[in-house]
This record gives sequence, structure tokens and C-alpha cells, in this order.
Amino acid sequence: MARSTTRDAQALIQSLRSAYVATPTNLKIIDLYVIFAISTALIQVVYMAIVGSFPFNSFLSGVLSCVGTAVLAVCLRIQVNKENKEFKDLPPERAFADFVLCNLVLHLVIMNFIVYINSFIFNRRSVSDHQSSSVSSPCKKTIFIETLAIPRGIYRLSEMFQLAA
Amino acid sequence: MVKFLIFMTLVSLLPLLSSCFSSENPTDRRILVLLDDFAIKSSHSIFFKTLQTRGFELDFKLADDPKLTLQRYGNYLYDGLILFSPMIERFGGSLDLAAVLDFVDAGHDLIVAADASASDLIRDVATECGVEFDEDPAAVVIDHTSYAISETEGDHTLIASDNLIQSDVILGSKTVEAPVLFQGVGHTLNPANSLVLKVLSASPSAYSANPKSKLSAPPSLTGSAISLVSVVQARNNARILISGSLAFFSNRLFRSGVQKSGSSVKFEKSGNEQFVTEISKWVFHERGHLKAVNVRHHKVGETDEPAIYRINDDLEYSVEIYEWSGTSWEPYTADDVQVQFYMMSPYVLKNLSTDLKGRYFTSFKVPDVYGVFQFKVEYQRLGYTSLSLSKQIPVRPFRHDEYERFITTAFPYYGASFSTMAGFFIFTIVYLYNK
Repeated sequence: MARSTTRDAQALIQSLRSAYVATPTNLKIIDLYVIFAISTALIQVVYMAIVGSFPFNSFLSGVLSCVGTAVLAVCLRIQVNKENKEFKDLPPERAFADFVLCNLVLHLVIMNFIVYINSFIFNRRSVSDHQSSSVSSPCKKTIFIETLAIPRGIYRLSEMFQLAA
Repeated sequence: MVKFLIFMTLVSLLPLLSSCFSSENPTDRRILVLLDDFAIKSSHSIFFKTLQTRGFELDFKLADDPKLTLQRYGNYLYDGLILFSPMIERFGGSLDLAAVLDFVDAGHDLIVAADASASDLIRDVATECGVEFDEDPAAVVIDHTSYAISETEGDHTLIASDNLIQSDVILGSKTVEAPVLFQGVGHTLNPANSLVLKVLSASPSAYSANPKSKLSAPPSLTGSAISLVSVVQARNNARILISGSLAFFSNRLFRSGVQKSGSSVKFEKSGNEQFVTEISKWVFHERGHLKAVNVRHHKVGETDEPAIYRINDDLEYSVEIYEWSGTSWEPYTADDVQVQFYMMSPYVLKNLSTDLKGRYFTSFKVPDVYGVFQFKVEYQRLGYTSLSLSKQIPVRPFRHDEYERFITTAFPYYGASFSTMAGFFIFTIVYLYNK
């Protein structure tokens, strides 16, 4: 009985692999990119589990950049795949342009959210390794804070779970 | 013209005439002494002479003098009051219990001596100051084991006591060797009262009763709870000395030798004169009077006082404390002055270190809490005036550009997002130019 299940599993994997070899190259490139993004996200989650969630917004922005770009790549793959009847009329260039623009917006948001801004968003934590830095930052940082609605919402949600846990 | 010149010279001389009690010169100058009769002036002449040689102006009056007055047109005429009139029922002139209490409330000092059969007025003065005399008017303090041995067989009302308070400030740095003679009534203090101190207390075998009649019930005042001489330091730093014996200050007891019963040592001179001199120095603010001036605080490295601090700043605090020596202000040295950085409760409590010239200083880090804080120095020690200083200062949190720019523990996240961006860029190139 056991031998038959392993032989069945092996047969299943063989068939999957042979089917996968038949996919077009550009889809395989997209798959590779998705795997790279997800693995980077997993590495960050493991790191946070070891070190603790201290600059939580930096963690969120790192994970979100990976997961967001993976999601966008998956959307691209769906739209570009010729076997997909739903997107038959959508030119693949259009799909790729959407992908690029969305990634640009995502990384813009990530670049701003990764900065650790205590006063407006987070509860006050006593930080032992904080030194007073006399670097004067440009005031456009304050403008960008207002555009952080989405990550702020995500943070609030995750903080709720954190507090509940 | 001439009249005008004379007037101007007299006016310019006026500041020299006011040599009275002031905060720059805390020792009292003019003292009113109220007596039952002028025989007390001669029988207590040594005590009065010591006061006059120390620079006090004594004004002797009978306690029922109809022209008695402590103040005129709102100014007090005297800086201290000595009541050596235990029998007086009613003061003369405008003086009464309320006037005496107002005098003390205004910050002036008082010495009250009661005696056997003291009047109700003197008892009330003492009660208002925090000591309770024995209710029986004929009771005196009797001690059958600690009395002074004399040639005549006495009734042991003249007691020799050496239960003195241990305080260099109140009793001077030289210890009183000989026992102190006392003959009079005893009083008790309320143990809940933190402002009264027993300076001379009775031995555990003393009790307060009428020596001429048999005891019908156990006496109410016994043992070391009986205080013979006590002092009170009020919250406005007025000092009051209450003694249960007028003879305590008399020449007779100053000059007599003393031998305590049960001990074979005979002293040539009792300790009364030394005790009374030292304690009168304390009562009239010649010793133990502190002032704190020049409170300063600033950030480490700067010299001027900022109007607001930031959390986690390093700051320095300094204050100067001086003690009045009777003639001048000397630096006060102690190692237990503390400063609190206080907001509802002390966040920082530090001992101030001194440079032995009166300057006390310390430095600490502002805590990680923002709000309105106070620098508080609360200093209350036995025999010294109490110091209560407080200076308010706000503390602000970090400005948004005063935080750390990059956090070390977040470097993997920075690296991950940049590598994602790089990966995205490489992916677009590969995807577009893939054949």
C-alpha cells in the first residue's frame, strides 16, 4: 500500500513537471520572480521572529514590498497567460505597463513607510538605544506622512492582532 | 533751605538706624521680657546678662503693665518675647493670648517659663504651642531616684536630669557634662506632633504629683513621657522654648553644685548655665538657621538657563545653602541634601554633592517622560530651619527630526526592500528582452 502511494506521488510530480516544462518562457520568468519575492518575505518574517518586532513599521514595509510585488507579478502572469480566456482581448503590453506603474507606486510608498517616525503614528515606546540626532530632515517627510493611509491602516490592524495576542 | 538740608541728612541716615530683625540678619535684636515682679530681674541676672552681652536689647516690663503692647501701627516693636511670669492671670495693655500667638505666627521667637501653680493663661499659651501641662495646678515633678542631693532633707522635687536630646545644633557642640537641675512642673507632648521636641526629659522613675498630699490614684504623668523643657520649631521657622520651671533660669540653680542621687560624682557647677546659654542661642536663631539661594540649572556644557528641556537631556542643578553663625552667613556642609525632579512623584532623586563653600550641585539625565516638572529641594533636619524650594520647568518630547535616522536592527528590512526594487528592475529587463 505504501509503495503504491509513493509511486502515485512520484507519478503526480512527474506529470506536473512535464506540464510545467511546456509553459512559455516568460511565464517561467514571472514564476521565478514571484518565488524570489516570497522567499525574501519569509526571510524577513523569520528574522522578526528571532529579533522581535521593534521597528515594526520597517518590518511591515519590508514584508509588504515583497508581498506586494509578488501579488502584482501574479496578476501580470494571469493577464499575460494565453490560455486564460478571460483576458483574451487584453494586450500583454498593457498588462505589463500596469504592472510597472503599480510597482512604482508600491515602492514609493514603501520608501516612505520604512522610515521610523515615532510621534504621529505609534505609541510611545521607551527606546534605550535612541541617540539624539541633529540631522535636519527635509520637511517633505511631513507631507509624505499624509500619504501613508494604506500602510497606517495595515499597521493599526496588525497592532490590534498584536495586542490581542 | 537749612531745614531742607537737615531733613535730607536725617533721611539718608535712616537706613543705619534700622538694625532690627531682617532676613539678611536673622538674629533677634529687641526682646521684651515680661516678669511677675522685678525681683526676678535680679534673681535671674546671670541669664539676662548673657543675653545682653550677646547683643540683645532687653526690655523689662511687668506682665500687668497697662502700657504693654507688642506692635504699633502694624509693625512689631520686638523680635522676641520672654514670658517669665507664670502667675499672671491677664496680661496688661493690649497683650493677650491671641496677640502672643499672632506674634509667633509672624515668625518671632518665644520663651515661656511656667512653674508650680502656673496660671491658666500661661498654660493656654503652652497648649497652643503644642505642650500640655499637668492639669492639677499643685502638681510638680517628683523623682525619688534621680533627685539632687542637698543638705536639707527635701521632698525630691529638685531633680537632676541628664536626659538631654542628642543634637549639636540645639545644644551646642560641647556636651553638657554636669546634670541639669530642675524644679517645677512637667508637661507632655502629643506624639503625633512632629514639630515639638523634648530637649530635657525626666528619668523613667519621675512622676508628676502634689508633694504635700498623699497620692489617691496613680499619677497620670509618669516616666520619660514627662518633658521638662521642650522646644517647638513652627513651620514658619519661629522657635519656641517651653520650660516647666522658672527657677531653671535662676542664679541659684546656675551657681549651685549638683550631685545626682545614686552617683558619687559631685559637680562644682550644674549644667544649667551652659544648657540655657546654648539653647537660647538656638531659640534666637544664632544657630541652625539656613537659607538657600541661587538655584540654578542648565544643560551640561551651557551656562544659561533654558526655558524648556527635552527628554534624555543631561542637565546640571546647583543651589547654595548658608547657615547663620550669629554674625555672618557661613557655608553649610552636609551630605544629605537631595533634589527631586518631580511630577506627581519624584522621577529622579539625587543627593547633592558639595564643594564645602556652600554650593551644592549634581547632574542627571532628564527622564524619558515629558510634562511639566519641578526641581524640588525639601530639607528638614532636627534643629535646622526647613528648606522648601521648588522651581518649575517643562520637558518636551523629541521633535520629529531628532529621532535616529537609521535603526541598526532594521537593516535587513531596508536591504529587503532595496533588493526587491533591484529584482523588479532586473525582472523587467529580462522579461522585455527575452526571446
